[in-house]
Order: sequence, then structure tokens, then C-alpha cells
Amino acid sequence: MKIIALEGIHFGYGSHQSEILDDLNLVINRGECHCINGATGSGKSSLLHILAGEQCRPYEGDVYRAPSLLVGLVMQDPNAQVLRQSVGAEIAFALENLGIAADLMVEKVQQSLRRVGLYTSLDTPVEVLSLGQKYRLMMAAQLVFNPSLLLLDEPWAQLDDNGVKELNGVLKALLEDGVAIVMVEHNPSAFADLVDYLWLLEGGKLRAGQRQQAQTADLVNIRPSSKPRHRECLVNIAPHQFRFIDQEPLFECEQELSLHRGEIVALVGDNGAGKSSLLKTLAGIQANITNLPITVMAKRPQLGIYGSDLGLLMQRPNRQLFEQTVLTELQFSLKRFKLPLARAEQILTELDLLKLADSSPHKLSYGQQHIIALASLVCLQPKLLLLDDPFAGLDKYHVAKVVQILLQLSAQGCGILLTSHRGLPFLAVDRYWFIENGHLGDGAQITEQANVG
Amino acid sequence: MKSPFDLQDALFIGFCATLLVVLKSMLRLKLGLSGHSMFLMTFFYLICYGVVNRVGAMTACGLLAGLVAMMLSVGKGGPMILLKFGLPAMAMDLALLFMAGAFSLRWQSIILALIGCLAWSGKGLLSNLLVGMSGQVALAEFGLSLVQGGAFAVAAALLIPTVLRRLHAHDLLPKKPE
Repeated sequence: MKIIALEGIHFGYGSHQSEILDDLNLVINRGECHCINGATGSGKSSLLHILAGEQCRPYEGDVYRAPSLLVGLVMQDPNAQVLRQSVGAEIAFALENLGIAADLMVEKVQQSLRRVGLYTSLDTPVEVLSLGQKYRLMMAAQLVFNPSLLLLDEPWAQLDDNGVKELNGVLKALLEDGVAIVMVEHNPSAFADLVDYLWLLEGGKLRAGQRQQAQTADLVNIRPSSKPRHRECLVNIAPHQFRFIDQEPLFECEQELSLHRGEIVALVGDNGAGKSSLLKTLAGIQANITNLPITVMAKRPQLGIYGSDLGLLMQRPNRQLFEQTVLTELQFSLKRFKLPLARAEQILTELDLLKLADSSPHKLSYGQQHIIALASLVCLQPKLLLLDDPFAGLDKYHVAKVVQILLQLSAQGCGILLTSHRGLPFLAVDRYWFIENGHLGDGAQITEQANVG
Repeated sequence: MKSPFDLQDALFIGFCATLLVVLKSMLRLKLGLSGHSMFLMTFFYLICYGVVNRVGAMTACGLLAGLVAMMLSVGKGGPMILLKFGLPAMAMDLALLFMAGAFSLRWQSIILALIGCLAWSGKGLLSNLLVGMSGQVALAEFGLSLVQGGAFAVAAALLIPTVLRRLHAHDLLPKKPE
């Protein structure tokens, strides 16, 4: 039974730009799972917004919706759709709008939280959740009202492996109940067992996609330990308990960890493990933390003392974009630190993004914003680069470009610490640091095994 | 020119009117300079027009701001405060009917700001004459207000293109300001 259909959809972001959706057609029936793949900035998220019926920009074409169709949408950046301040209130918001009796709400809200594997109190403030936890929260907020169509934007990038496993289970049950699912995903293989139709969005049209081999996320890629460890130490973390003031420890670091010039270290942990908080602490911008035995470039981390020597890429790239065009965004810090402005165009050329030079960074897709924010840091050629989930929202082509740039920076002596939910088989790193079960440690065993192997 | 106001337009007009009155009441600037109130007024009216892009937006904003100010007893003048806020906005909207699209955004903003200031000074002239001020003194007062208010109004108008371009870059305006 058809629940939603798009016919001849034309959509673009401005009169001077070509249409990103060009005569697009799609029919979704009850109980079907559609997965849409495509390059970064190809219009996947815009398509989801049209399906959700909340695209405020004008578009041409017909949209058929079955009567009383309930649509749930989880956006790529869950912060964009958080409305309330506590977990319980956020999930109950939809129920309030549907006129559900208050005494029935608590059970439904708790049930939804359990379904997405978010075991937290209903009074927990939303702001203390990590991005991945917020993604789970938004899924719970959609599942609570039993939508007939569920739209998911890049779940694999935002969730850790446990989250993906749990989501697979939830989606399977939903499909069996007749709920239709449309997901936008750069890694469709993570949901291969569920997907009925795999599409590739290219040139504004949907074409049948090809099934890929499952990405082996567990694999790690360790560089041979050729780097002399006597190089300048950029980051030193002595054993400590990482905690926010007046709160239980988030994790415990029992061994000394260090990052030297030219090294690439990947910090891996589940959603909410404390990866982003540690990165912000290293950059000196994490508030409300205790005094920690951490030094960065031989100084106690503090905001503003490192100048162009330190670059931090935040998990939400729109937090660090503010100029009116991509080119001026890249040139902003170069001007500030009196560095050659030509580096901006050079890095855009290297990343094959010169076509976006005059575009507003605020109108780009999540993935494009991520890569522009990264480019604005890379062109400073800092001594230390802290990257919070730098590959989120990027397609394979741009992942390869970013990897190439990171390796170049590393060769020039830049120390790089990047976070991820899982191993990074496409990037050769020197070491892995893991946050597991409340413990931060060096994955020395893995490194040794990989080197021996 | 687009037709009726939609919800987003109405919300934005309400936001501008409220912010104008709130800022005016919070700052209570005692600069000793006549006409400084034209800065905020001109700025919010022109931003309102730039974002909503409809004739009538400034009048709606001005009348709404006047009503809010009257209810909250902000500023001097009692019920006349409605005229103080409304008259410049109406004059600017009226002028817009004859000049929309004829000038660049910068010049259009400056001309509208001066017209708004003329109406504001005119209201002062009318009040002065009504309370029995001699014509000569009232006219001198009018001229002084026009010059001082005009300077503040033009200063606000000069900010408009930059602010609108920033709003457009942040995807808050559908059409690029020109």
C-alpha cells in the first residue's frame, strides 16, 4: 500500500545554482526500507525534508501522502530538532501534541528510551548528552508516537557499533509492523539485512544503487612504528580521573598517554564515553571540569594561548563557521595570524571544493560544513590538530581527500588526535586510545598485533 | 511585490517591534542628544522591510511598537507615543510605494531613513504648535530635530545592507539583498 510518493520533484538552493533534485520520483509502500546513498552535498538530506513535509523552501512537483500519515524524522544534527530541556519532556512532546493522556505518557516514554538503548533518567538535561546520545534521544522521540514512516539521516555516522546493532533490531521490528523506513546513509552495508531498495542520488535523480561489501569497521590500520619518540611531545596526559565538578568520574586514565609531533592518534569510544569532552579539555575550552594533570605543548590548556599552533574541529561544524562565503571563512584565521591568504584557495583546490568558494558555509550540507571547517584549520598548518569525528557526513571521495591531507600534515610534523566511534581502516594511525567501560588507555595490544600481523 | 503576510512575517514583525521597545526601555540612554531614538527606530523598521520584503511591514512594526510602548508606559507622550512610533513607519512605507526598486539597497535605506526622520520631526512640530509654541521657535526646533535625528537615522540605515547580507548568508532570507 502506497503511503507516500514523490513525482517530478525539482528543488534547488538558489537561482544561480543548478537544481540538486531534478525530476525526482520515488514511491514508498508500507513496510518497505529504502536506503539513499550519494555524494556529500548531493541533496539527500533535502530529499528527507521534502518527504517529512517540512521543507520551507519552494520546490516543484507533486507529493502524495496517505491520509493520516505520521512521519518521524531524525536529522543528521540532532541538536537542530531538540525542543525541550529534559529527556522525558523531549520524548513526551509529540505525545502532548497528539493529545495522549498524561498518565499513559511515562510508560510510553520509558519504553521508547529502552528501545533505543538510552538508559537515562527522564529528568536528565538534554544538554549533558553527547551527540550520539542525542541522536538516540531523537529516535526515541520519533518512535514514541508510532510513525508510519520513519526518516533517518546518517545513523551509522552518529551511532557507535552497539547503537547500530540496537537500531538494526528496532528497525527490523518496525518493518515487521508495517512501518516504512527511508534512511540516508553513506555506509548502507551497516543496514544491509533490512534494506529493500538501495538508491544512489546522483545528478538530482535516484538510480538503483549497488550493494557493497560490509565495511570492516573493527579493522584498524596502524602505521609501522618508524617515528622516533624523542620528537617534541605535544600532549601529555598523566593518570587521572576525568570528571565534571560535583559529578561522578566520566572515565579514569590509569596510564600516561602522550602524542608527539607527526603522530596520528585515534581516540575511540562509544557515544557518551567522554571523547568530545577530552578534546575540548585539551583545547582549553571545556568548562566545569576539575584540575587535570594534562599539558598541551608544555602548558596547561587554556583558551587562546596557542594561537595558530592548535586547531580544534568541533563535532558540530556549524558552531565554528561564521563568515559569509567559504573563501572568506578560510581566510579569516589566515588574516588573523598574518599567514599567506593563498593557502585558502590552495586547500580548497586540494579538496576539490573550489566550486564552493563563493557559497555561504551556512547553507551547505552537514558533510560539506564539516570539510570546510576542517579546511579552515588545515590551512593554518597548526602544530596540533584536534578533530572531533572528522569523517562524519563525508562520502568515500571526500574521506580519501581528508585522509590524504591529514597524512600530509602529519609528514610536516603536525600531531593529530581524532575521535571516532569505531576503528578507522582507511586511515593509518600511529596509535589508538580507547575509552572502554570508563577507562581511557592506550590500545598497545592492538598496535602490537597489527605490527606483528 | 508579494501578497499577504504569512506567519513567519508576522512573527518577525512582532519580534522587531518588541525588541525595539524593550531595548529603548532598557537602555534609557541619557545622551543629551535630541534624535538618538531615531537610530533604533530606523534600524528595526528597515530590517523589518528587508526581511519581510512587503510594503506595510514597517507600518505594522511601528504601530505594534507604539501599542506596546503605550501599554508599558515606555517613553514620553502618553497616547501620542503611538504616533511617535507609527508616523515615521507610515511615511517610510508610503515613500516605498514610489521608489521600490529604483535605488540600490544602501541608497534606498538612506532615503527611507531621512523620510522617516522628516515624519518624526513633523510630529514634534505639530506637538509644539498644539501646546502653543510660537511658529518661529517651533520651526527652529523642527530644523534641529531633523538634522540631529537625520544623522542617527542615516547611521542606522548604513548598517542595513551589511546586516541583511549576513542574514542571507545564514539562510534566513530567501532573496539576496541587492
